[in-house]
Amino acid sequence: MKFVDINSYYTDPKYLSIYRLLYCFFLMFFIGLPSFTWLGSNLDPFFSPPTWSLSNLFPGFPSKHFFLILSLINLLAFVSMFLGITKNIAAIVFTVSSIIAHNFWYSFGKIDHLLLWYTLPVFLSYAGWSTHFTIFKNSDQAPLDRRAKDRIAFIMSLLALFIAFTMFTSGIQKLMGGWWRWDREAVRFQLINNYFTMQRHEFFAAYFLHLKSHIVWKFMDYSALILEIGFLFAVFKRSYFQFFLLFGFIFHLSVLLMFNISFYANVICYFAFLNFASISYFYKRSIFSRFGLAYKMRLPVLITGSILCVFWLFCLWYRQSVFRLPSVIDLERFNDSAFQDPSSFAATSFFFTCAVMICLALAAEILKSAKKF
Amino acid sequence: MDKYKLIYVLVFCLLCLNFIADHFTKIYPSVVFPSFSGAPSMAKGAALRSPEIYGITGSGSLVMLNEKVLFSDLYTKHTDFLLQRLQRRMAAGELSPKDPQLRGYFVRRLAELGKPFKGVRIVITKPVYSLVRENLKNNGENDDIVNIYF
Repeated sequence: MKFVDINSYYTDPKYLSIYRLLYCFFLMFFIGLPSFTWLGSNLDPFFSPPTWSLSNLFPGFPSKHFFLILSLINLLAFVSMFLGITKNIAAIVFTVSSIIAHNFWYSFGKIDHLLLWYTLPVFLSYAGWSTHFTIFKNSDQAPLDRRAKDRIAFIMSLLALFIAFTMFTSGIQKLMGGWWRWDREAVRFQLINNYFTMQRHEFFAAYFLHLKSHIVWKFMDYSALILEIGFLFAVFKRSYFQFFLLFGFIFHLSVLLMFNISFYANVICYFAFLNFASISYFYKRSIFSRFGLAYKMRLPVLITGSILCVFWLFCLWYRQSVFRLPSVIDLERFNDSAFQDPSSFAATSFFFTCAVMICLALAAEILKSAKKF
Repeated sequence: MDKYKLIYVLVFCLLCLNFIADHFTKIYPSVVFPSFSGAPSMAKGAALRSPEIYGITGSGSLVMLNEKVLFSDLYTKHTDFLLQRLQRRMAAGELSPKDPQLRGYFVRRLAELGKPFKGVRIVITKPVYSLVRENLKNNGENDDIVNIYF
C-alpha cells in the first residue's frame, strides 16, 4: 500500500514566515480577533456545555474578569506571534487561550466549527513560521539538514490531515443524513432554512430560492459530497490536496453567496499550502527583488500591524464587553456593542482578495511550468 | 521517516476515535464538523422551526420582542438555538420555568430595556415553505409554547 507522500509537503520556513504575516494580515484587515469579554456569570441561566468539554468542569460561567484576562492573554499572544518574538510559546498560548475561551463560548447549545484557524499556529510554529520576517533578526536562519526538513514536511502533512479529516467528517454526516438520495434536495432545504429562519437574504440567496431545477440542486448535493469526502483521499500527495483546496475555496465562496455564511476559518488555513515557491520564482526575477523590497517592507508592515494591536488593546480596556475586535475594514464599528461578526463588505473583500491571490498563484505556476519546456 | 509514518497513523486513529465518540456524545474541541447534514423530504414543503419570543403584558396580551435587542448581551447567531434548547429542556422537565436564575435574567434584561412585562412566552413556530406556491405558511397548530412568569 502506498503511504502518504509526506516529503511532498515540505515548505521552506521562509515561505511559512510569509504565510505567518498573511495569516495575521487576514485577521487584522478583514476578520478581526474574537474577544471573550461578553461572557460572564450574568449568562449562567443558559449555561449548558457539551458533555465532554473543559467548561463542563465548571458550575457556570466564570466572572467577567476571567474573560477579560483571557482576552488580553489571547491578544498579547497574537501580537507576539505576529512580530515573531517568542516563537512556539506565543502560538501555543494563542491556541490554548482560544480553545479555553471557545469552550465557554459554545456552552449555550450551539457549536461553531471554527477550530482550524486557531489551532493552525501551533502546527506552523513547530514548522518554523517565526524564523523570518520578524521584528528582531532571528538566529535560526541557517540552512536546514535532512532531519529538519523531514520534520517540517511531517508537520505540514499532519495539518493537511486535520483539514481533510474535518471536511471528511462533514461529508460523511451529509451522506448519512440522506444527501445522496435522488429525491432529496439537501442544499435547497438548507438554503430555505437559512433564508427564512436566519433571515440571510444577501448576495444570490433570493435568486437561488426561486431556482427549481432538480438536476441543478442534485449537482450541488453530489459535488459537495464528493468534495468533502474526497478531501481525505487527497492528502496522499500535496498536489492532489492543493487541487481539493482550490475547489474547497470555490465551495466556501458558493456558501457565502448562497447562504451568506462567511466560513473564513478554513479558507485562512488553505493558504498555508499555497505554492509560495512559484510566486517567489517570479518575484526573484522582478525589479522589486533588486531592491530587497520584501525584506525592507518587513519593518513597516510589522509596525503598522502593531499599531492596530495597540488599538485593540484600547478597545478591550475601554469597552470592557465586546464580541469582536474590529478589523481595519470594520474599524468604524469599534463603538458598536452589537458588532459580532465581520461585516458583509469585509467578508466579500476577504473572499475577493483570496480569489485574486489564488489566480496569481495559479498564473505563476502555469508560467513556471511553461518556462520548463 | 518511519517514525513519522507511525505517528501519522496514530494521529489518524485518534481522529477516527474522535469521530466515533462524537457520534454518541458531545465533545469540544472536536474535529467532527456536522455542518448542515440534514436532508429531509420536501414532498409536502420544507418544514422549518423558527423560535419567537413575546412579552406578556398585565392584561395577558402578547407583544413580540426583537431577539437581537433582548439578547444583545449574547451571540446573536446562537439565540435561535438557545431558545429552542430552552424550550426542549423545559418540555423535558430538565429546567423549570420558575428557575430563579432564568427569571432573574429576563427581569433584568426587560428592565434594562424599559419594558414592564409580567412574563415572557417562547414560541417555537413550525412554518412550512411551499415549493410550488413559493410561500411560507404557518397555521400555528403545532407550535411549541413555554411561558416564564416573573
